[in-house]
Amino acid sequence: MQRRTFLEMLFSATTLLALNPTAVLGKDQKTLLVIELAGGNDGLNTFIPYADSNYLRLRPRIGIKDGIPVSHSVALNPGLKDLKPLLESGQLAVIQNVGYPNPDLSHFRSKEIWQSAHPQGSVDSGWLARYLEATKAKTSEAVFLGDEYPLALTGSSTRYLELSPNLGLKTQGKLGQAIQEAYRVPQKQPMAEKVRQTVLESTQAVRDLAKDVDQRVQRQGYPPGDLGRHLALVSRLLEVGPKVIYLTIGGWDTHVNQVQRHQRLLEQVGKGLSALNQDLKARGLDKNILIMVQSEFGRRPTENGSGGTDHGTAGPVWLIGPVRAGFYGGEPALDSLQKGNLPMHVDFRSVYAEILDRWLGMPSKGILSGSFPGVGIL
Amino acid sequence: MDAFTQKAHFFRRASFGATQQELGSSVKPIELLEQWLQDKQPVTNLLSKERPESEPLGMTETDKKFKRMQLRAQGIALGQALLEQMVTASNPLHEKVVNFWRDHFVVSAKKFNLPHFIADYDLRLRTHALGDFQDLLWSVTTSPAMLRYLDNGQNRVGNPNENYSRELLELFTLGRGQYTEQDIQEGARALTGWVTNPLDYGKKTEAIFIPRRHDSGLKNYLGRQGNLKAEDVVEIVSNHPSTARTLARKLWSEFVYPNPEPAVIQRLAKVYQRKNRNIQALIHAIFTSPEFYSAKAYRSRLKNPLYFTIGALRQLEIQADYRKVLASLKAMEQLPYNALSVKGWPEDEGWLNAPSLLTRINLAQQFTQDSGDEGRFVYEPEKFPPKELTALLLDSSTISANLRTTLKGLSNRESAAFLLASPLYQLA
Repeated sequence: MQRRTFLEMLFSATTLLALNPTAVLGKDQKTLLVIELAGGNDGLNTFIPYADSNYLRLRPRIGIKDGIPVSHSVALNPGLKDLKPLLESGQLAVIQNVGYPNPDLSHFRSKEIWQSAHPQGSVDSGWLARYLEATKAKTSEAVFLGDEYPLALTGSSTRYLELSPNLGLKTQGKLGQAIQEAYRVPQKQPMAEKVRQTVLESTQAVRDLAKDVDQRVQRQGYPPGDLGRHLALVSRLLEVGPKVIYLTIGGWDTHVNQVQRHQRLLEQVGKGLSALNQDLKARGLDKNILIMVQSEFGRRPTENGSGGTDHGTAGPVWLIGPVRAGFYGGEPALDSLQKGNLPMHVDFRSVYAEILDRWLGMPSKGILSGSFPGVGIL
Repeated sequence: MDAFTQKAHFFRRASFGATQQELGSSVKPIELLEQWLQDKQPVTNLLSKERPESEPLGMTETDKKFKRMQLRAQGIALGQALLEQMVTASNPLHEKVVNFWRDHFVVSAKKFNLPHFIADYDLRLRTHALGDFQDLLWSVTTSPAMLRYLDNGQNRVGNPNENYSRELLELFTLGRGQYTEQDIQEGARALTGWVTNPLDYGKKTEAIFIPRRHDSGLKNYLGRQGNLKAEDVVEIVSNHPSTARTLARKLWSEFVYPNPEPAVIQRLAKVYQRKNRNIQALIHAIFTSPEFYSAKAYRSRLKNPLYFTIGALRQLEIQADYRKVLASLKAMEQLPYNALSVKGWPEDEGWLNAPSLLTRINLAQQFTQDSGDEGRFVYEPEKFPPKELTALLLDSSTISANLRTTLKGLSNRESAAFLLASPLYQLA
C-alpha cells in the first residue's frame, strides 16, 4: 500500500466525525448507496406479476395473493407497503429481468460477476473500486457497512473505510483502563505506532457513531434492528459526502418456508428506506443520493417442495432517488422459461453504465470494459 | 540484537511465536531450523474420517437440506482441524510454509463448498510444501480444488477457459509483464483436458485427463513449440527465471521483510536454480541470511488475524474451542480457505482496520479469562508469572517501570490479556 493512502485511511475515521456536518455538503454532491440483498432475493414475490395466471400456477403454495397492486401488472409484496408512496411521488424505479449472459447459479460466482462487472475471465477488482480509483478517491470516500468486505470495493491496493455500529471494545474494569492507558503511549516501532493509531481512531469513531446512530434511530423512526441502525449510519455518513456507500444485508437465500421470512425481510427494507427517504428530505439531501438495491440472482419461478425457492437467474434492480419512476425491463416471461428460469432482458451492466454516465459522471466504457446502452431511468 | 531477542524473533518468523519451553531451551535456532527442515512430516487428510456419501439421483428437498448441513458441518470440522494442527504442531516451520502456499495458490471455499476437495488440496500443499516447486505446481494444477476454483476443469478443446492459464503466469509463477496475452491463450490450450471426476464424487479426489477434451494442436508457449500439454506448461514455468524471482521475493517478504532489494532477490533466485527448484533450500538460505536478524527485519511485520490467534493460543498453551476461534476469524475477515479473490489475503497494512484490531483486543480477554465450567478457553495463569509473561510475549528481558506499575494492578490473567492486546504484540 502507498504511504499516501495509508495515511488517509488512518485519518479517515476521525475526519469523518470531526467535520462539521452542515458545512460540508455541496449542492451538487452525488452519492451512490448500493444495497446488496445477499443470498438471492426472490424477485417474483417482491414485485409480483399478479395479473399473469402463470404466477400462481408455478407457485400454488407460496404465491402472494394479498400484494398491493401498483400497476396493471405489478403488485408490491405486502412487506413493501412503505415503498408505495415513493413510487407515487416519482422516486422509485424498478428494472425487471436484470441479469447477465450464461447465468451461474452459484452464490459466489454470481456475486463475483455482479460485483466485478466482468462476467468472463478472471476477476480481481470490483467495478466500484475501478470507478473510485479512476476518480483518485480517498479511502474515506467509500464506506462499507456490513459483515464481509465486498469485492465491489476491492481494488488494486486500497481498502476503503469499513464501519459497523456493532463493533466496539468490550474492555471494562482495571484491565480495560490499563489497555486504554497503554494505547495512549506513542510507540517506538513504526508498525506498532500504526496499530495504536488505528485502534484509537477506530474506537473513538465507533463509539461516537454508535451514540449518534442510536439517537437517529429514535428520532427519525428507523426500524429497530441491524438494518435500521445501518441506514441511520448511512444518513450520518452522507453529511461528509462519500462517493459510494455499500451496504450488505443477508438472509435472502430462502430455500425453505420462505413466505413469512421473506416478507419480514422486505418489511425491514421498506420501512428502513422510507425512513431514510424522509430523513433526507427533511434535511434537503434527497436529491443528493441515489439508492440501488440489487441481489446476485433472482429465484426459480417454480416453487420447490419445501415452501421455498431455489437459485434462479434474472431479478429486479430497484433505484430510489431522482429517477424516472416506474417499471422497466418488461414483464417476467413466466410462459417462456429457459431451463426453468427467467430469461434476462436487461444486462446489469446497462444499469451500472447509466449510473456511471449519468449519476456519477464517469464514462462507463473504461470502467465496464465495453459499452452498454442505458435503460433510461436517470 | 542479543541472543534472547534473536531467538524470540526467530520463533515469530519460523513459528507463530515461541512457547515458554522453546524460549528457555538451549537448542539454538540454527539447529532447530535444520531439524525442522529435515523432519519428514506425516501427512494425513484432515477429513480422513468424514467423507461425504456420493450423491444419489433423485434426492428430495429434505435430503438436499441434510446434505447442505452435512457439508457445512464438514467445512467447520475441516477449519477446526486446520487451526488445531497449527496451534499444536511439533514442526511449526512446516506449518508456516504450508500456510504460505495456501496464500500463494489461493483456492476459496466461497466458490465451491466441497470440504473434501479442500482437505485433499491441503494435503497436496503439505506433501510438497518443502519439496520441488515443480512437483508442487503439478499437484496444484491437477487438484480437483484448483480445477474448480480457477475453472480449468471447464477448459477444453474448441472452448477454452483462460482463467487458470492467466493466474498461473500472473500470480503463481512469472509475474505481471513477463509474458504476452498470446502465452495465456496458448497455455490455456495446452492445459485443456483435465476434469474433476464427477463419478468419484466424495469417494476419491483425483482429477482425470480426458484425451478427447485436450487440444492436441501445435502451441507456441513462452518460446517453446510443440504439442504441449499440462506437464510441459508446469515444467516450462517452474524453470523460468522469472518464477525464481517471484518466489524469492514472496518468500523473503513473508519471512524477513517486504520489498527485498534486487540483490537479495538475485541471490535467492540463484539458490532456486542451483538447487533444482528445491523449496527447502530456499527456506534455509532465507533463514541463514545475515539480513534475517537485521533491524530492518525485526518487528517489521504486522501479524494477520490468523497469526495473532494461533500465536496467542500456542504461546500461552491455551486449550481452545476451535469453533469459537473460527467465528472470531470470520469476524476479523480471515477465515481459512475463504479469501475474497485469487489474490489472497491483504498484505500487512491491509489489516490495519477496525474489525481486525478491535476484535483482537476483545479476544485477548476471552482467551485468558476464567470462564468457569463452560470454559471455552482454558488458560492456566499460574504457569505464567508477569516477568516470564513479558519475556515471552514482548521479548523484553527487563520490564520498564511503567509496565511494572501497570502489571502490579492486574491479576495474572489480566496481565496476559493486557500483553496480548498491546500494540507491540501485534508485530511479528
